[in-house]
Formats: sequence, structure tokens, C-alpha cells
Amino acid sequence: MVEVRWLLYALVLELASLVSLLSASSELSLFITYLGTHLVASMLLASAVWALLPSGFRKPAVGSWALTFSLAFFVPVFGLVGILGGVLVGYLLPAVFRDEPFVGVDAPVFTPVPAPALAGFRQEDLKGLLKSTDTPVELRLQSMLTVRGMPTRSTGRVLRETLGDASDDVRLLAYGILDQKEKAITQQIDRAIILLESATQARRYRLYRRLAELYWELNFQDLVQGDIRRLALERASFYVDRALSERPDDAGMWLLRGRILLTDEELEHAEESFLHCRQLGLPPSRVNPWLAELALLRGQLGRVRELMTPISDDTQFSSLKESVQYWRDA
Amino acid sequence: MSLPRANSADICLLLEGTFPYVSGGVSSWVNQIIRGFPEYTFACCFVGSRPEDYGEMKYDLPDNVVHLEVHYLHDQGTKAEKKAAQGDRSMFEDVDRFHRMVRSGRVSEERNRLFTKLIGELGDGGALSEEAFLHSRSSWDLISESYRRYSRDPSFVDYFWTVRIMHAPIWILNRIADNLIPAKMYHTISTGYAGFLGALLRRKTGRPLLLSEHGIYTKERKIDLFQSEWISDNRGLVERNNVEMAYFREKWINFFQELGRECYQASDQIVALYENNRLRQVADGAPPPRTQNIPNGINLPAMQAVRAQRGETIPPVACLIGRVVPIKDVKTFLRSMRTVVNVMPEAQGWIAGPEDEDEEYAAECHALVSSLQLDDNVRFLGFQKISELLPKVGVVVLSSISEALPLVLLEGFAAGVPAVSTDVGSCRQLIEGFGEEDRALGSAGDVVGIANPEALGHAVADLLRDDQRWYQAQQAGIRRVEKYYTQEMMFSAYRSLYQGLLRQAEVADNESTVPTLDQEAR
Repeated sequence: MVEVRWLLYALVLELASLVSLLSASSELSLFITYLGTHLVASMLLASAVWALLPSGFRKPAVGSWALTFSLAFFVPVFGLVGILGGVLVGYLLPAVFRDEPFVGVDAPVFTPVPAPALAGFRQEDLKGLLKSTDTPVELRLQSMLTVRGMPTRSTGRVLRETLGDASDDVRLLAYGILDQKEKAITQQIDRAIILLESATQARRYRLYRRLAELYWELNFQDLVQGDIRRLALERASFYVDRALSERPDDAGMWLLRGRILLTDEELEHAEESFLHCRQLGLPPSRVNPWLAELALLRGQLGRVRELMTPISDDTQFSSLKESVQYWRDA
Repeated sequence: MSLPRANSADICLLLEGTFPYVSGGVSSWVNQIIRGFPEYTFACCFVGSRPEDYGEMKYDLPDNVVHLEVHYLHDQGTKAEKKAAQGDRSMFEDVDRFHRMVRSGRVSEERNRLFTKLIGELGDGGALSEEAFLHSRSSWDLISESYRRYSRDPSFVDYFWTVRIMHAPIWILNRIADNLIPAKMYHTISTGYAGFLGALLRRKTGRPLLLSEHGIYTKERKIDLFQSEWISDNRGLVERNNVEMAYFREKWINFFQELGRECYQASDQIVALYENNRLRQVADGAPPPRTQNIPNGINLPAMQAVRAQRGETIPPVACLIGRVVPIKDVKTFLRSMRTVVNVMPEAQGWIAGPEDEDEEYAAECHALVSSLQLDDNVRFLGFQKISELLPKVGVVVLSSISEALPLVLLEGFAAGVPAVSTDVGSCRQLIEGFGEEDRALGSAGDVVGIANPEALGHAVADLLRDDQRWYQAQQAGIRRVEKYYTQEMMFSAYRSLYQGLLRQAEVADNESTVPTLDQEAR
């Protein structure tokens, strides 16, 4: 930075001039030398300081330079200190007086969320609570909210029973919960069907697979009954076959096919599908439970144990663990 | 078309989302009432959500409608000028006191007096003007203090805006009340916003207020709000408690409950369609002595002409008459048609009603028809004239999840068509009868549980295939309507109500004092 260099030169020159002034001799030539060096030092200083000034201080250019120079030249030493001090004040003061759009506020206080009026825990049979007519409606509505957060697979039945409830509110809420869950799946089905119309070969397989799973989900989540359920299973089976005609080695689809057939109580065909899954390489932990269920339906208890035993303990089906244990010990 | 204007009217109807811009049971009833009382002039004050939600008028205005004005609650029009103000602290303390009373759940004379005082300040320049609510320091202090005291939701920002948005319609309704033409009495067809407008008018003018409630507004709102997904819940994982409703959801439900309560408290007479609804009104805050039941009635001679057009055979047609909206649960009807068609391949399922109210739902219904493979058996007819439709119908089907006292069942009965309905509202009472004598007339069809397509389908198919049972049901329906649900009965009940209330208005005018409801209330 050239200004800093100027500043250094200026300080050195000023020091030199001071030294010459303080010498014992009082010759005129010495004084003129002093004046000369002081003049050059002041000019350098003025230029350097002027260059370092904040832009707001530099206008008008000549005036502000002249002022800085005058201070340095006519007030030796103290002028220098004064200039530097003034610049410092100029830097700091505006910040103090500037009109900020902010105001100081007290430190925020943490406002805890008020505790709920009633205890959050309650040990009670949810089904019993929902079905009992002498429980207050408010409490039953609350338990409906709990039911809403649970999978319909396990709550579908109780929700459908509540559809016939005497209280309008409970009934309508039950309807709303079932309807919302059913709608979520149906919307996906509608979307997939639309996509299917313009799908490429590779894409089509994925969509068939998806549709099969979605129709199956309607049944699995216990969202459809009677004729509609039959229809959903029919559609699921239709799309499973489509998917399998595209990729005959899709073990997942063979498994789904088996489960649909099992629901339809076509045990022979279901078994064929499940066995085919094994051939395609699905692990026993995924296929055996279904084969075991099949065997159970046929009353072949020995075979159930045979099938359940090879399922390892650390199976992903945590809910299966108990049954595995049971059959192993049986 | 310009709307009729007048300087005054005998009766001012307060209509929320219904006649004349929306078709349906309630709108037809309003139309029927207006035409049934040509001796009175009516003013109609329609309150809707947004202009784009409504199309053209669905009804020809009867001649005795001398005045019609239309207001929208969510119309982003006038905005109060933003100016900081201190606000009247003592008035906001009163507001706080009022809310405490509301929270306590008790109605009292004191609460009603305070309500009257507060609504007097709602106008521009009042201590509780919209401006003061939105921009004054006192209002801010009250809102932030209430948040600290009560909010179970951690977000203050959401709390603040929920409070503002929730209360916004109050000032719109107040402006409507201040500018409405004078009427001798007010008649609101629901609680909710229109009912609250009625309460404002009753308290401000002292003119009597009549409330006729078809469905129970508060209940329907409540179910909507239970389901709605737009209400945020900012509780963290640890704070969340599944047993507990999201705080803002609860606030919205309470808000509508209180709108209803103010309407019940301010009404001079409260009419329900049937006993269960009357009990519900009482539970929601209606003073029992002011309540009564007046069922819907049918114009019998007109319907007898329709009955005469019927052919010899029973048409294999099940028809759902109603708007294509979720509350009618058209999907269950469509699914039930799958069952019907399985046993009666020649059966037809018709849906007669406009589809423009919820286009998304209508599209879903159309998609469902294809996925049920019922394209040859189900037809969407759009809006139909009952007189032309009913002679071609074998059974009227109602698959609704909520109803009050549906006119279509009565019209069907009068036209000689039995019905299969879900067990909602007074449907069981209409089909099977209410009380010994009524039940002795026999069953006019069948009643099944809601959202049970298979049961509905079997009930429809059984009725259509059993000639003897069908004719018995037809006769039972005709006899029931003739005995209990005639237009004359309904008109005479309303005539005495109107006459009584108009007389009360006259007496009050002569004495020039505002009759207080509250002294007679309890």
C-alpha cells in the first residue's frame, strides 16, 4: 500500500526535521532546512491520511486535503496526533449516532407449552372404549384420534363397527378416517392407470407391479369388503399376471400371487406360487410363513413346524418371532 | 341481471351458502317457504365464501322476494388502513372477560349483556373496530397474553394469524348487519356465520330472530375440521400426544360452536326438523323452551300427478337424487351398484344431481364407475326435474353419511317410490315410522348402515326383485307422507311462528324498547 509507505516516509522526515530543530545551533539555514523537511513531511502525511480517510471525509477533495495538510504543517507533532485522533473519532462516532431501525428488547422468555388438561396416558382397551355407549362422546372422539394414527389393518374392523354408532360425531369421524385412507390408495391407482396408457415397455412392467400392490393394499389394509373386495383382489391378480408376463422371474410378484390365491383359498395354486418363489431365490424367512399358514389351513401341523424352524431368530419380521418360537418349542 | 332492491321487507332471510345460488334440499325448502307465504315480502341476504365458488342463480326468484343482497366472507376486498394505535385497554379487558366466560362453557345473562356491549363497538370508529383489532397495542397485548396462558401449540406466529383469520368474518358480518335494509323480523336457515349475523341483528335492532336448522351446522363443521389437513400442528415429537387434538383444530371447532351458541341464545324461536336434532341443539346451547320440531312437508297434489304417470311394472332403476358431493357418499352408492348388478344384471343406477359443487369428487366418482366395470349400468344425469324423473325410478337410494330430514325421500314416497337409505338423520323415522301409530303404516323400504355398499346393494336388489314387498312399501310411503309430512302442516306451523314473531316486533316498535330475550330465556 503506497499510502502506508508515504506515511512512513512522512514520519521519518518529520522525525528528522524535529531532530534538526532540537539541535543547539540556531542558524537560519538550519531552520529553513527544518521548514523544508517539515513541509515535505506534512504533504506526504496529508496525502497518505487523505487517501486513508473514509470516503465521506474526502469531499471536497481539495478542501479536505488542505485541512489535513494545514493541521500537519502549522501544528507540528500535535497536529499529527490531532489528525489521527480526528479520523478515529470520525470512524466511531457516526455508528453511535446513526438512526438504526432496531430497538433493544428484553431477552425472550421461554414460554412452555401448557400441559394438557388431562393425563396423556391411559390404560384401557381401545375397542371396548369405542364400543361402549356409556363413555362420554368427547372421550370416544379422542380415542378415535388415536385410532387414526394406527394402521387400518388392525383398526379397520373396529372403525367399521363404529360406523353404526349412535353418536353422529363418532360415526362421521370413523367414516372420515376410513374414507381418507381408502382415497389415498385409490388416488394412486387412478394415477398409475393414467400413466399406464402412455407408458413404454420398461415402464409398463413397473406400473403393473405397482397397480398389483396397490389393489392388494386395499384388501390388506382391510379397506374394502364383499363384492368390492373380490373386485380388488381380481384386479390385483390381473396386474400380477401382467407383471409376471413381462418379467417371469420377479419373485416378489410370485409371492404376492401366492398371497392373493391364499386369500381366495386356492391352496394348490398358492402353494405352487410360493414354492416358485423359493426356486427364484427368496429366503425362507419371507416365504415360509405363508407356506406354514397354508399347511396350517390344511391341518398339517408337522409341516408347519418344519417350515417355521428354519426361520432365523433375527428375522426382519419382528412380529413373527413369537410364532417361530412357539413352533420351534412345540 | 341486477338484483331486486327495496327499502324494507317483512321478513329477512339469512342464507349461508344456499338459496338461490346453490341447489339442494335446503334451498328447495327456502324456495317452498317463500312461495308458501305470498302475503309477506321477503328480503334475502346471501352469505357465501368467495364469488368464484358460485355460479348463476339456481332458482327463479319468487315475486315476493323484494330484496336480495350478496356478500362474501373471504373476498379480499377492503383492507383497513394500517396505523398503529394504543387501543382502548378497558374494552379489550372486557373482550378478555368475555373469552373467559366462553371458556368456562356457561351461558349467563351477564355473558349475553357483555356480548351485546362488545358488538356495539365493532363498527368503524368503535373501540373494537377491525382497525383496533388488527393494529392496536391493546389487541396485540391480549393476543400475546392469551398465547402465553392457553396455547398448547408452540408457534406464536401460527397462533397470532389463526386468531386474526378466524375472527376476520366477524367484522364483515357486522358491516352487513349495519347496512342491511330494515325488516320486521329475521329468519336464519342455519347457525354458523348466517346465524351469527342473525344474532348481531337481533341484539342490535331488537327485532325477533327465528332459526330453522336443517342439518346441524356446528356438527358438520366439526367433522370437516376433524378431517381437514390445512390446520397446522407445531408440536414437537416429545410434546405430541396422539390422544389430544391439535390446538388450532380445537380452536376452530370451538369458534364455530360459539358462533352457534350466540345464535341459539339470540333466537326467539328455534326450529329443528326432528327430535334428535332438537336435542342436539339443546346440547349445543339452545334454551329448551324456545325449541320445537317442524318436519318438512310435501306438496301432495303435485306429487299425486307424478304418481299417476307411473307405469305398471317396477323399473329396475335405483336412483340417488342429490348433489354429487362427499356428504352424499355417492361412492358407496356406486359400489353398492356392483352388488346390485351382480344379482340383477339388467339393473340401472342413476345419479340425478348437479356435479359442479365438488368437481374433484365428481371426477373420482366417474373414475370409480369404470374401475367397478359399471359403465353400462350407471348413468350420471345431472340436475333433473323430480316430476319427470320419479316415474322412471324403482327405488330412491340415499347413501348419505349425514342428513336431516331429506325431502327427496318424502318426494319419492309421495310419487309412489319406496326408498333404501342409510341410517342417518331422521331416515329411519321416515322409512320405518316414529311411534306406534306411524310404525303401523309399515316400512316404506329399507335402512342400512353407512358406508356399507354390500348391505345397501342387497337391500336395493331385494326390494326391486320382490314385487309384493315393493308394493307394500310403496303404499306405506304414500300413507306416511299423507299423514305426517304435508306442506299444509309445515305451512301452518310456520304461519303461526311468523304471525307470533311479527306481532312481537310490532309490540316492541310501539313500546320502542328492545325486548330482552334473556329474561324469558331461562
